[in-house]
Amino acid sequence: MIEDKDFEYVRAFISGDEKAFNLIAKKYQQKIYWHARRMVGNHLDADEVAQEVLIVLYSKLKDFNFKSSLYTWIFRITTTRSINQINRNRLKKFLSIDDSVNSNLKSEEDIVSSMESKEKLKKLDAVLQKLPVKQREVFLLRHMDELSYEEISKITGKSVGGLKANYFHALKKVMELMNNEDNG
Amino acid sequence: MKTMDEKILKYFSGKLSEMEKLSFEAELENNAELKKLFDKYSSQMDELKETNNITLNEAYFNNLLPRARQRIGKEKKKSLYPKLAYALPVMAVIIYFVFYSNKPADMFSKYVSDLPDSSKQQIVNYIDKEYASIPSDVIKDARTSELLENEISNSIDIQNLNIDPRFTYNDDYELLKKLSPEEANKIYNNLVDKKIL
Repeated sequence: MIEDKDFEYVRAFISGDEKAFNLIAKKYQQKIYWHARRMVGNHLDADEVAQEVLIVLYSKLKDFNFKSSLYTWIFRITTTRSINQINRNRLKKFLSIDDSVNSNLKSEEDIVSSMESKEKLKKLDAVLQKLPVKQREVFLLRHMDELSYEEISKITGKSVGGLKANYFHALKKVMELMNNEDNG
Repeated sequence: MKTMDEKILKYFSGKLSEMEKLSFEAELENNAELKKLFDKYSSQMDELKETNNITLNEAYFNNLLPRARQRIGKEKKKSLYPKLAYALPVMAVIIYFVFYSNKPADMFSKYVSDLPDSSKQQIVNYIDKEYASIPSDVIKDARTSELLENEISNSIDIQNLNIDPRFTYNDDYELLKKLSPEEANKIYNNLVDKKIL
C-alpha cells in the first residue's frame, strides 16, 4: 500500500476538513489542466474538464480506497472526463450544432501569454489531435507526464504489453507528423 | 532506413528485450547514420516536452478552484430539488417547530396526514438520511431561528398567496401548504447560501 502526504489530506477531508481539499486541488490542478488540455486540444474544453474533475474529486474522495496513489486516481478521472468531452464535441459536430461563439473563445481565451509558447502549444495540439484518442492518451501519460507503463496500466486498465504497442504506434505517427511539418 | 526508424522507436517505446536493447546501444556507438537519426528523434521528442515548461497565467489557476467550488455548491442544491418538492415545507416545519416551538406535534402530524403514502415514505427516508446528524447546538441557536423566520417570510410572495402580510411564521401552516416546489426550493437555496441550514 502506497502511503504519502496525499493520503493524510484525503483522510482529513473525509473527516470534514475542507481545507484539505483545497490542498489537494492546488497540488494537482495544473497537472489536471495540462493533461486535459493536451487531450482535448483547446483551453475552453480543458477548463471545463478541469472543473469537472475537481467537482468529481470533491464528491468521490470519500470513496477513495487508499490502494492506489491519489495522482493515479486523479489521472484516471481526468482521462475519462477528457474523453467524454471529446465525444461530446464529436456529437455536436455530428449534429451540426453551431459552436462559433465557443470557437472564438477557444482561440481568444487562454492561459498562455507569450507568443512563443502559444506557437509551441499550437504545434503540439496540431500533432496530438491527429492521433487516435487511445494512442493520444498513452502518449501523453508516457511522454509528457513521464509515467511508467505500470502506472499507466493502473490508470487505463490496459496491459503493459498493449500500452507499449500503443505508445510505439503513437510515437511513430507523431514523428511522421513532425517531419511532415518540418518539411512542409 | 525504415529498419533503423523502427528500431529507434521500439527502443523509445521499451519494446526491445534486454538483449536487443544492449545490442542497439552498441550499434548506436558504431553506426553514424543510426546515431544521427537517433539524435533527430531525441530532439523532436524533447521539443514536444518543452511545452511542459510553458509559463502559465497564475490568475487562471488561482480562480479555478473557487469556480469549481461554486459549481459544487450549485450542484448540491440542484440535486436536492426533486426530493425537496415535498420535503422542504415539512422540513421547515420540523426544524422550526420541533426545535424552537413548544407546540409542534399537532401541526406536523396534520401536514403529513394530507400527503399520499408514497410521499410520506419519501419524506421519512429523506429526513432520515439527510437530517439525522444536525448538531443540536446549531439548530437551537436563537439567531438561527430568527434568520430562518426572516428568510421564509422574505422569500414568499405573500400577496399572491392571499396571506395576511402581517403573518408571522408561527401562524403559517397554511402558507407552507401553498408553497410551490419553486418557492420551496428558493427558500431552501437561500437558507443554504446563508448557512442557516
